[in-house]
Amino acid sequence: MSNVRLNWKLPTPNARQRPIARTKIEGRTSPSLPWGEINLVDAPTQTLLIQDIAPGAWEFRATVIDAGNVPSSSVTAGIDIAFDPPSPVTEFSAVLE
Amino acid sequence: MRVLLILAALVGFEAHAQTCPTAPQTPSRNTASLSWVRPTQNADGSALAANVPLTYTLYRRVGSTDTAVCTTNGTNAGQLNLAVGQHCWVVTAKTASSAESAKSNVACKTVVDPTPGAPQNLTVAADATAWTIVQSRDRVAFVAVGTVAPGTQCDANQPVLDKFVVPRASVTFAGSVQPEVVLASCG
Repeated sequence: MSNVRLNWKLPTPNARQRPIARTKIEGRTSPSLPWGEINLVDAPTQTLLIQDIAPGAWEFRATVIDAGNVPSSSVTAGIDIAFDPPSPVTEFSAVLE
Repeated sequence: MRVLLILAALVGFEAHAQTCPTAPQTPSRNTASLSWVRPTQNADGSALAANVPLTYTLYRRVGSTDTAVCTTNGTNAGQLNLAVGQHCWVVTAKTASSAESAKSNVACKTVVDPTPGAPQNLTVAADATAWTIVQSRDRVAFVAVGTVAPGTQCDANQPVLDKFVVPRASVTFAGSVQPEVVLASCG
């Protein structure tokens, strides 16, 4: 099992934007599956540690949510978490035939 | 004269009080086995000979009211078929010619509803999503990893929030993430 740290940079709201409230972090394990909400990270935090996740190809996406609960478009990042190598054979021996 | 009549009525009641059932050999939820120790002294402190027959009256105590339920010559009694709730008893002793002793300490038993057996055959009701657990900071979340076939047996002993562990072999994984522990909504 592995840990994955997600990092991001929050945008600076301009005069036409509300303050940023939080970032929604979602994950999925296949494009055919729905996104699952992993956490809501309050601003100004820009990092999240995901612990003990299984190996394989993961996708994560971050969506900024402003003080009016309006979401931004999402930004996606993927990571391949390596599988462990196979265990060696056991009771390996050589006999004369 | 009036006092004598009241006393006669009380004696008559005791004479007709039921004999106490014997204490059940095997304790059960809705029975009580009551036992007490024979007194060795009279109320005035003099010795009570061990060969003097005693009759014990068992009272059911509800609040501050004691109601005689049965008599016995032994030092134990059973109370059977008790309803759900708390039941308390006290006991008194008397000889054939003496007045009734003071009441003993109170012994109580609380009968509770029986715990139902575990539900059986918890299964995935319909084609359902298989989930893995993802932990981050202060939260545990579920992320989909595939589907579970309907009828799959769920492990009722391993609930996680509203989901249950299902056999990994029953899961069709959609991607390369194939965790060891997979959950589904069941029932």
